[in-house]
Amino acid sequence: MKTVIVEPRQFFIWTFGLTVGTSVLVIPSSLAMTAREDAWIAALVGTAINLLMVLLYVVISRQYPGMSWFEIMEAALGRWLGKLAGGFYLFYFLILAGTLLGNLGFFLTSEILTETPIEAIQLLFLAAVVFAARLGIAAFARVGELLFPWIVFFSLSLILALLPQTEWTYIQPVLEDGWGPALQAGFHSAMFQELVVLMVFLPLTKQSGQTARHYFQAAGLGGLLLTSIVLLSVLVLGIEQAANSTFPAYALAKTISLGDFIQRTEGVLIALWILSFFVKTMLLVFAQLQGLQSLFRLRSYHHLIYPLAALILIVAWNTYLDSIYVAEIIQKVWANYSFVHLVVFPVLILVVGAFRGKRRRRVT
Amino acid sequence: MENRTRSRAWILIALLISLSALLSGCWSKRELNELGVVVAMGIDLHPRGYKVTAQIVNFKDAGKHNTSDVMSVVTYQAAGESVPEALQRMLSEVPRQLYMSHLRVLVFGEAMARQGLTDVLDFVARNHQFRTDFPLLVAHRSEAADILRVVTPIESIPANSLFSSILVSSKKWAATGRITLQQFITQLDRGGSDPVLSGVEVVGDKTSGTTDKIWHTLKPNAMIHHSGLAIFKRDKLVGWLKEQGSKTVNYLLNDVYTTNASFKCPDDEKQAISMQLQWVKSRIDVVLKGEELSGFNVNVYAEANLDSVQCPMDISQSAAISAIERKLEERIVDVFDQHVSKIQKRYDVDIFGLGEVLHRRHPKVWKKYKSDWDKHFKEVDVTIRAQVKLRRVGSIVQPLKKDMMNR
Repeated sequence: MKTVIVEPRQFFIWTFGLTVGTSVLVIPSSLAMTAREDAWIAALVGTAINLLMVLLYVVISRQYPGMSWFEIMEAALGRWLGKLAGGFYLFYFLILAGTLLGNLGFFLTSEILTETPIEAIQLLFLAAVVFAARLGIAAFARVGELLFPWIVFFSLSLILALLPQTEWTYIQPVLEDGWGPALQAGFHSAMFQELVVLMVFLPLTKQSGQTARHYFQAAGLGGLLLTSIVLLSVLVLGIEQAANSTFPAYALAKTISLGDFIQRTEGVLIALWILSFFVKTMLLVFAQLQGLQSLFRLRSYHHLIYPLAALILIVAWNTYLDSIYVAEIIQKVWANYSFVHLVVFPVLILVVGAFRGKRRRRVT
Repeated sequence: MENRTRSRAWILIALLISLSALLSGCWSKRELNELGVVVAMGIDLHPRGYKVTAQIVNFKDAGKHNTSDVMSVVTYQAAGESVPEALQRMLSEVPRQLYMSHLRVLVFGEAMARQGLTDVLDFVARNHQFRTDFPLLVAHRSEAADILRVVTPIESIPANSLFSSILVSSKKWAATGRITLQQFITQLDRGGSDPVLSGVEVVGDKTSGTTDKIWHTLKPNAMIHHSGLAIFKRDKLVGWLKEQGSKTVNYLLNDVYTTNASFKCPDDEKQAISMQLQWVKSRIDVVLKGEELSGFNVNVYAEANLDSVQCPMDISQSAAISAIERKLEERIVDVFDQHVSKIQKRYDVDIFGLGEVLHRRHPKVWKKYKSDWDKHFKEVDVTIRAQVKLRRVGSIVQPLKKDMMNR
């Protein structure tokens, strides 16, 4: 598998897609609920936390050069413990991919295609995922390059078209209840970008120095895009509606009206979310395939694509019961669950790696 | 090898055939000839709950300039315990599926508005077909159904007529409000401000307005007329403002684009000087005394252009210009003072959003007043200051009357 080579530029696009995908659609409401007028500060805090996590991951990758995340865990925790931890990550990625698919289906069926069965939409999306998975990582990396200009174009047009409607007093007062709510919301939102997924793909790139730099830049840039969408949600919708919308970014797109002439663009801007969903789902699918391959020492993962797709669909149907249930899970459970995989395990590995490195140095 | 290519060919054929299943189109397709496009909706109270009136475009004629004798719209009516139920019931009369995304205006009957709008707005905000950018209106002294049953001249679709007259009048006249669903809901949920909505009424004979006879007369005997702003306490209508009061509110809400202002001539009470105001801006500042609220300062700034002068005064001196400016400033302060204190005394609802300003600027002070803001609003000092700059006098300098008298 190591023969596939991913350009640093393609890695940049992946990181960006992973940061923005889905978060852009749902994050504003939970931020506005906790941090109120300071939702944008919370989004910046979230970005900073994400960057710290990327720093953590890059340091770990320096300790174990050329290894993917699953291999690192085996090397650090020992074979069986490492495989167990790898299993946890596989499950984490599976749940993530499933909820993404569920989220996509719910979004489309509640806002646009209300009479279409949710299963039809999810199957169609999954068909594209399977198709892309069969073509392999290198092809998907190039698809990313094709999609990226569109993601940028749609995000920029969303932001620029909304500027005339901003009401700057809506973000006042700043820090009414101090930093507490902003930090809390920021920490909470940082648990939804799942940048650890990219550790599976890091060894596929050649110039690791440049890739690490792109890892940072894309996480930062994606965070800035999230921040500006959050800021716009508050500036245009006001916190009351931003917090009470099921899909605030879509509600935002609905309000676009340039000179009473360019209106009703939300149907086009949906492409932004679907494209970023696609990038994120694909990365999770490839991460699982790679993980399965390395945990069970398989020669190829091609025969696993269909079963995995079926599994994701089943997870989607059984986790995304209704939007209120999911919102509750997201508020109460998910951040902590995610925290274990995004911070606790990596820190553990870092500490173990540091000890081993010391011991190795002493031996030599 | 050959076997393999053959089986591949079979798979391909099977795939192609299965694709034909997709040719029927998607589940959520909506053909134009199956849709009843609702352009205006009116909601009134009814013993059963709500009575919904919908104005639906008659596609046979829409688009053409009303040359044929078919009406461009038809109104339907149905009642139900909730608005969606009434809309469902309406399908027993309407031959098409109702489509809400092109709604231009939503009108509430006065009785309905007095009872409260939240229950209906919940449906409108929740349903995915409704957009959030159409204006809400209240029928003044009548039912919403009456408003939607008047045929309008010039614009053959009455909903469009209502919509564009709201746009034009709020931009040029400033005594109406273009308050959209989104703005209304935001103000409803927010502490320290109460919403207003624009009012409409039918002037003339309500029953004769329903036929296209209006298109064949120079002076229609029924017209829709914009009638000031409706004041809400939370979601309930509590009173109406007339022209000057509405303008005052719009000035303070910074919603005035251009408008007209006039005052009496210095030496003739019957004549007036009238001006067009542009670039109107107002700024509300909080005055604190230590940690206590002592009042609000409202600064109004406007640029004026001379529109008509009916008094024989000498305009060619810059002293005259500044005299006019001072006079207009006085007049603005007078009118605003009068209406602001009237709204404070009579309604005790903060439609100016003063509480909101206090909250945004001084969150700590706001906490003390938050719980009983309505009471504080009633007694708070509002000082109005105006600054007017007369920039242009128009195409002639001296008043015609002066030239005529000097002859």
